[in-house]
Order: sequence, then C-alpha cells, then structure tokens
Amino acid sequence: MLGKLLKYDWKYSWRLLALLNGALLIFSLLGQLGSRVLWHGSEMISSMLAALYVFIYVLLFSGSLIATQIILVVRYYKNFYTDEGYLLHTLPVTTGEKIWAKFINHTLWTIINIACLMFSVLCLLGPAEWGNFFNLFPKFFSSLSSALNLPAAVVVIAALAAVLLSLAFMIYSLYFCISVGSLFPSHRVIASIVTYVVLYCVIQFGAFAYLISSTLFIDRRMYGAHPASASGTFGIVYTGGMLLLLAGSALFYGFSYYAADKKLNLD
Amino acid sequence: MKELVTCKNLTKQYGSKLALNNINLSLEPGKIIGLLGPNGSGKTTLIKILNQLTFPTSGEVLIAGNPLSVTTKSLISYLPDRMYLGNWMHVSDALDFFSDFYTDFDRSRAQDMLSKLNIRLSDTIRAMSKGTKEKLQLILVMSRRAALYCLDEPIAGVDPAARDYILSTILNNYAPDAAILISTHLISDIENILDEVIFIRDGAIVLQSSVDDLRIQNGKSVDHVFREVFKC
Amino acid sequence: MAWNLTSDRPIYIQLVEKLQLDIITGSYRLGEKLPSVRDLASEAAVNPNTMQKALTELERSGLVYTQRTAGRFVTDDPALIRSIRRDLAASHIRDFIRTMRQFDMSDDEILHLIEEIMKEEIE
Repeated sequence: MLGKLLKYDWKYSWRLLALLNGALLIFSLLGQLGSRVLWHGSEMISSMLAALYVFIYVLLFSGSLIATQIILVVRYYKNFYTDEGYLLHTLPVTTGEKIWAKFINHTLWTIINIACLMFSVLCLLGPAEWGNFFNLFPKFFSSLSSALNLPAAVVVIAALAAVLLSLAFMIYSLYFCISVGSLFPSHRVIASIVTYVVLYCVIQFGAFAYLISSTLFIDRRMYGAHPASASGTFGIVYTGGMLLLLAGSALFYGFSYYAADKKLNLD
Repeated sequence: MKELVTCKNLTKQYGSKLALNNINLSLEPGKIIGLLGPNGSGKTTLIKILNQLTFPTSGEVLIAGNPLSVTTKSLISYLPDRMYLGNWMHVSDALDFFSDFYTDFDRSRAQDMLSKLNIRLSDTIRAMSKGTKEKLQLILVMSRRAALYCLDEPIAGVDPAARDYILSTILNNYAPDAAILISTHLISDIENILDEVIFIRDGAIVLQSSVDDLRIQNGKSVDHVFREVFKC
Repeated sequence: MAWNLTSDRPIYIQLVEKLQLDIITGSYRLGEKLPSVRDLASEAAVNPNTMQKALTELERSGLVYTQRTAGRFVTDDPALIRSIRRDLAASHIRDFIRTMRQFDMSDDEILHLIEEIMKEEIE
C-alpha cells in the first residue's frame, strides 16, 4: 500500500515542482548562453542586463527552494486535514504508511530541488569552471579527513548521514507544525504558522546552546592538531548532534502520527 | 444473521457539546436503512465514527463483529457530503485510484456508468460541474462490492432528475447482502426505497423500525410520522 | 407501466396490487416468465427487498410460481386468474355501490344508469 500512496503523491505534485525547478534550470541555461552573446555589446547595457538577470536569478533560486518546501507542506495539510482527508483517511492503509509516503515524496523532491540548484550554478559557471567546482569536494573531504585523523570514506559517509538526518528533521518538523495546527479546528492555518515560528526560535536557540555547551568538551589541544583528541571531540559533538536530530525527528513523527490517528477530527 | 454494524453505548463529546448520547444500534446485512434526523442531530458524527474520521469518547463500535481497524475500512464504501477527489485528477486517475486501493472495486461497471453519462476518461475534475462531480463520486462508491455503503446526504442540493438517477444508481448497484446506510433529512424523496428507518435527535435514537411497520401502525408516510415526532 | 406508489401504505402491498393488475389485464400472460427481482425493482424504483416481499406474497396466492433455475412465471391456471379477477372486480364494485348508495339512489336506478353509460362508452 505504501507504494500506491507514493504513486499518487507523485502524480499529485510532480508537474508543478518540475515546472518550478525546470524554470530555474532553463533560466540558468539562458544566462550561460546570454553571457557569451551579450558580452560584446555596450558596457552600460551589459551591466544593466546582468544586474536584472542576477536579480531574477536570485528570486528563482531562493524561490524554487522555498516554494518546493511550501508546496509539499501545503499538500500534506490539504491531503490530511481538509476535504481531501475524507478520501485519504478512509483508505485501508495505516497512519504510518500515510505519513511515510508523504515524507518519502517530500525528501525525494527536496533532493531533486537541491540537485537542480547545484546544476543551475554549474550552468552559470560554465564548463570552464566545472573542473574547479568538482575539485572542491575531494579537497574539502581530504583536509577534513586528515584534520580528524579519520579515513576519507568515514568522513564522507558521516557528512551524508548528517545531511539526510537534517533533512528528515526539517521535513518532520514541518509536518509537526501542521499537526499541532490541526488540533485547533477553527484556526488550523494560523496555529500551524505560529507553531512554525515558535519551533524555529526554539531550534535556533537549541542549536546555539548545543554548540556552546559542546565547547565544554573541546580540548585546547585540538588546536595543536593532536590527532586523537580532535577526532574524539568531533566524534562526541557529531554523535550528540545526530542523536538530537534523531530524537527530534522521532518526536515530530510521533506527534504527527498521533494527530492523524486518534486525534483526527475532520471538519 | 451476523450484524454488520453494532454500536454499544456510543458517546461522542465535542468539548461541551454532546454529539452522540449513548447510542445503541445494530444494522443487519441486506437492508437499506435510513438515518433520519434534523441538521445537527448527530447523523454525520455517527457516520464519521463508523469511518474512523473521528473517534468515540466512550462506547464500542463493531463492523461485522470486528473492532474498528484498517481492515474495517476496506469493508465500508463511503460517500461523504462533500467533494473529496483532488481537482487535479482525471477521471482515469480516479478509476486507477479506486482500483489500486480497493480490491472490491468493479472498474468495468464504473466505466459503463460513466460512459452512459458521457463522462470521458480524460475529463478533469476541476472542469466538471458540481452535479457531475457528485455523480462521479457516487458511481465510484457504488461500484465497489462492499459490505456496507455509507451515503451521507446523497441527494441534498440536487435537482429532481439527478435525484432519480442517484436513487436508481444506488438501487441497481449495491452488492447483494450488503447494507446501505443513507443519512438524510429529505425523507419523502427516499422513503420508498428504505427497508428500515432510524430517527435520531440531539444525539439520541428516538425510533428504529421497519418502514412497513411504521406505515401500517400509523397509516401515514414516514415523512409524515417524522414531522410529528420532530415537531418544533 | 406507471408505478404510482404512495407513501402512506407499505410499498410491497402496492406492488402486489400492481402486479396482480398486470396479470389480470393480460400485460403478463398465462405462463409468461417475469423479469428478475432486480429488473422489476429497478423499473418500479424500489428496493429489491421490497419487490422480493411482493413476489413472495404473489407466490403464496399461487398467482406466480418459481422454477428453481429458470425464474419466476405467471401461473398457467386460467381458473385461478379468473377467480382473482373476480375478487378484485368485486371489491371495486363493492366500493362503487357503497358510494352510490350514499347518493341516495335505489339499486334499480343505479343499474339503469350503469347500462346507459355503458352504451355511451361503446362510442
């Protein structure tokens, strides 16, 4: 049943999201081509066009990022807590399956969106720069690896895991906000937004507090590049952070489950 | 005959409002039952509880002897009083959807009914008139071979010709031995097809009887009896 | 065939009357096969359970019988049909006479009037 839910979730949202991300890519392509053609014109016009282009590009870039998240969260809300809920919640599927289907589709599209953002940057940079761009990654990871005295593979995997877990944390936090909102029947949307703002502040504060307190563990000797202590400290901070993200995600998922299951009260 | 729906001391409270007050009822398969009452009497709440769109405050609900679960959802075919298909769907998407999630969905039967109404597979829901959307939902729901059909106000806000179509679709398509629970406040239009009626007021059952008994005992239509019972 | 059903009496009784009428007037002939319960119910726009009840009543009176796999048939006994026709006609006439007597007409006057109007009706 999970597969079927995924199928319809995909069908529901792919067109708009593809349009959004596609527009960004096309615009980047245009920029790349345009920069070759127009550079030979008058300086004033070129710089004005360039400024206009950058303005629109930034809008599209940040817009596609934000819009992708908003579209997917709104879809969650609509499917779960509006008239469409009459269809979703009477299907013979479990609450867990409903939430996971949304989550998987959401994660997929977030990754696609990020990939498009990267591709669009590459497009703009032009093929000449690609070599430099792609070299950044191995350089970064190898220097990190030697600083921490850990094999590069471990560092890469740790980084990937952190990215994915952060993604999960973010997405489930959004569903959490919607779920809290759903408990206030006449003010669903406002309550969700308020929850989001409050949660955002709490998370920012929490992350800050975590970073500060983690300095308690940092050995001064780390700055002396003592290999053992660096990886040890880093390990503790990293693991602690990952556990917090995991706990947070589980909490958000659990609450969303609760709101969509026993606490369900469709209009 | 095993009961299809059993409610024991079912109560639902919304804050200070008592929507259902100690409901005890049982529905048998093979019957068409009317759940009749004025607006706000608890009809929709009861149906929502059967479909797990909200949950009892206390009391027990059994479907075919089983407590409410994911499995009981597959036994019930529900037609709510609102549009629940996404606007983005084509008719073909809706058919795929029902086929995918409900093993008891009879796709060819649905397609047959749709083509008789000149509804094409490529039509989008967004472009349909309200009446057509309602007929589409009805066709999808009645094309399932379910054990219980729950129809919430199927003929409210509908013109007489459409009403006839809806009633005849209901009569011609329900699975044999299934029960149909129709909730409505438009009694005279529907009483000729009902086997049994349940009168509900302020969350409590006031009367449960076969239509024939009611007519024989009172010499009047159900509509007439209803008016007397629910006089303001 | 218009099924004019009122809501103050049980539907199945009205269906029995309508089907009896159809059989007596020859709409369904001796020994003819009846449509299925669902088809009849659909035509009358009633609940198949109700139509089933009506058909069971007709079976009890012998006007209709079921052959297990073949379906339902009108009786092929003309005497039975005649007898039911007579009973129904008698009931209508009884009602008529009761009404006419309320008009304060003698039985002879009633009979004469009947003959007169029957002659008129032939044209």
